[in-house]
Amino acid sequence: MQKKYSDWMKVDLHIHTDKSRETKENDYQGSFSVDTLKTKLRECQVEILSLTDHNIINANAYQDYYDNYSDGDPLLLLGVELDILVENNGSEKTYHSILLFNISGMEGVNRINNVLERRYATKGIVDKKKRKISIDDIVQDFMNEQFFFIPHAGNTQSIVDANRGNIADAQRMIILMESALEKVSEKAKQTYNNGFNSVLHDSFQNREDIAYLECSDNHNIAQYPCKHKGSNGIHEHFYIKGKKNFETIRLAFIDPESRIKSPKQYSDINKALKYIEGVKICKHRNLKETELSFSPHLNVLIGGRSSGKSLLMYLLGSKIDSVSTDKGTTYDKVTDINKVTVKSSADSSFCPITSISPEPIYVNQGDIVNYFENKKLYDLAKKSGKKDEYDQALREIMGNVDVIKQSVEDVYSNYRNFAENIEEEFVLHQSEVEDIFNDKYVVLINKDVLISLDEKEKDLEVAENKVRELIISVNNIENCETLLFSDAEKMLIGAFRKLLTEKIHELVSKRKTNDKKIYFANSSIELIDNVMSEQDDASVRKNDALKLKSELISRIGKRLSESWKHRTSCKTLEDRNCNIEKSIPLFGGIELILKAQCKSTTKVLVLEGINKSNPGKSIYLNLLDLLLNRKNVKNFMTNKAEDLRKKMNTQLAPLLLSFEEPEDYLKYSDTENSLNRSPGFNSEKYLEVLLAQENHNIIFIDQPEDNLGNKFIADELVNMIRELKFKKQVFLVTHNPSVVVHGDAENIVIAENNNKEISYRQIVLEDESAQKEICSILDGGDYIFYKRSRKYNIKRLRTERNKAYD
Amino acid sequence: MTNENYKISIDPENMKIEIVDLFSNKFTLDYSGDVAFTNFVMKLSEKMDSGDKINPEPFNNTSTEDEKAKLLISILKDIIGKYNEAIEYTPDSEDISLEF
Repeated sequence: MQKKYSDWMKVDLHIHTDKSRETKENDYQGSFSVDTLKTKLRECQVEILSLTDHNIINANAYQDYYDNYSDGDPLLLLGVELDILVENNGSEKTYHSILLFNISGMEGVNRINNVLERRYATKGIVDKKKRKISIDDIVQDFMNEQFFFIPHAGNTQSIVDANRGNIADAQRMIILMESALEKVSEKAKQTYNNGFNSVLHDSFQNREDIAYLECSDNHNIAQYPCKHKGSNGIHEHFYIKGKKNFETIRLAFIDPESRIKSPKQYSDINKALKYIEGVKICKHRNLKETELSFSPHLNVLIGGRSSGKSLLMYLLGSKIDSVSTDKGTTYDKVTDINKVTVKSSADSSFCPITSISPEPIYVNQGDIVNYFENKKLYDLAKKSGKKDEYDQALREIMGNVDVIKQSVEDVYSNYRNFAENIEEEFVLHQSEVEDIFNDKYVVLINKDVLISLDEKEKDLEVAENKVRELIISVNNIENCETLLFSDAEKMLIGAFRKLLTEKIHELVSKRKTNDKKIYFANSSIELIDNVMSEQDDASVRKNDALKLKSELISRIGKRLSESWKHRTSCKTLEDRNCNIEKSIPLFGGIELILKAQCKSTTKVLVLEGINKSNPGKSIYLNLLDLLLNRKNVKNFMTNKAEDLRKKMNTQLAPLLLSFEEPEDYLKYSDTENSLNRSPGFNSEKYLEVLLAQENHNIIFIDQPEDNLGNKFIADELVNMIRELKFKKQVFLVTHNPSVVVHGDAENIVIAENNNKEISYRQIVLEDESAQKEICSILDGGDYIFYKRSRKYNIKRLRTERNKAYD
Repeated sequence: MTNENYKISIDPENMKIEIVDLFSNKFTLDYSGDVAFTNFVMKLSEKMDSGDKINPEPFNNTSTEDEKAKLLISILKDIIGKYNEAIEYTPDSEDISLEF
């Protein structure tokens, strides 16, 4: 389909003709013809060129080209490569520079040719091979012309070399003029940029707006696209973005970062990504028939109020299978999505719906603010590829509901056990004490002797079961049909089985012996009991009293154990953390925080449910008081375990709710987060995170500038968009001229609503009439265009230089 | 299987009964107050691993006039008798089936 947006095209602004032989010895290889030139350029798909002979203009070649111009031919702009003289402390040096004029017709060619020839005549230069001109001559002769200055800046005939005596002067000149440098190696560019930084005001440094543009410098058209005469290899064309016009080159030299690509940079642009190529709207309801094509880079949708900008974004979203648009009910009144078809780069033709994976980022107007207001940043986590982390964090926080509920159950159960035995007394009566201390003796045996034997019995049983399981496993492995064993392996298995058999015999033997020991211990206990039963009354009473003492100690031990268990469960509940926070790193130090926040602690909540509770004491001590009827459960006015359980559940409900519905927010630093920053600041951060995501190929945002500060838009958002647009396709509905102009939109769709008829059309920045239209639609557009093109012109250069000389 | 012999001696002054040749070390039973047989039973349990029986009667003369000492020696002999019973005791055990 026809591309109505700014697309990449090859340019070659430095091509010689054989006319250069007149001004330089042996300066051309073979003969030049316009026919060959056109054929070669078409083969190489070059869209803009210039014929740039040394110090002379081949007017005949231009005439021939323009006379035979046909649609589809590259645009030929007038150019010339001049030897420019630099005088420095009495010594003279020259450098080469192309002047490229905004002229593409013979009237202009002849005018410039005459001026140039007259200049050489005025300077008394008869020998064409000795032609030189000064920068002051250029300023004087071409004051009223629009042209670019493209000096050599490499190893030969370089502006740098010619100005070594005053390099800063040359740097200043290049900065002040609309210019590009050629013949600069990749390695040297960084050095050059650093050098320009040293003569720039701080705020203008590191802007990457020095244009470097390599051309073929072809001196042998038959071998095009060879470099020079053909012995230096093949030239790889640079790409410029735009249309075939002078304004395209002007914008490229103003904004080379966005508009000039070396062959390598061009190949690095991810063109393999699937993107939306176009949309076709059939006339229906209030919509006019339209076909729009989209750039794989930045597409902006602009227009007045209610012009249909957001409607177009909705239509595009509704045509992508993975996008969920939720404005159907609003837009269904004005459109019928069945009348709209779409085409992605993977589709052979327009279709009702296209498949895009992964799901594009799709943000409706106001969505971002709503996310913060509703404290639901799940969508951001999803769009940031952190859905799993968010779900996991949510699960972990929600898991605390069960933990708290279990703690309540433990406290309840221990409290109930305690309550059931609260009446139990631990008494050793006087008579029993006296019996214990009477002068009779007893023979006794501690029954604990049996305990260790019983435990050993259990250990032996467990060990035996393990060995038996192992034996079954060995059998299963050996009989497995998919496992084949060598003879050596079978021997190993046999040896292992033998070992297991021996162990079983050993364990069985040990169990038999242990059984005998148990039998012996029981017999001995019985024997001692019988002996004691035959003793006199005092001895028997003493024996009974000793048994009571032993039982008392045992019961006290059990009660203390239960008490400790109860205390532990109370402490566990009391120590439960009510403020649980999970952090999900998003981008650039920004974290998405999921937080369960309850203003009270479990202790406060539980004790608030008990009348006369003492907050200075633990839950355990308060519950002991409750057990002893010194306090009661609020509303129930009892100390029953069931009532306590109900009250604890009621009291802890807000805490459980905070775990079930944790709030989320963005954390920017230790002191700053989305809860304490403005909606505007939050929106900025939200956008930063969204735009930094690499797991989406297409982004739709309706009015990203909403709530954003102008400084953020100018300093941050635009830069983010400029970087992003060469990695993924971007669609922005916007009212902001900075986004359009500084973002250097490749495609501008204007939405219009004339008498309730909505229509769309496309313009590009390099169309001068379109620039005026953008200014009329977007508030502040004039200023933005002025600011963008504020590279000083040659008049300013002269003024600066004169000031320097004064 | 062998039948082991042992000797019992009485120290009426210190109210102690001593048993030698039954365990690796001399075993002493204090009968100055209440008398606990727990330790004696534990020691014999350990000895049961050897599978050896013990002659119920000590190898020496243990006559005494002290009724308490008499009772205790009688208990010691009875416990050894129970020990010998246990050695011969055959608990109900499962057959070893290795399912090979």
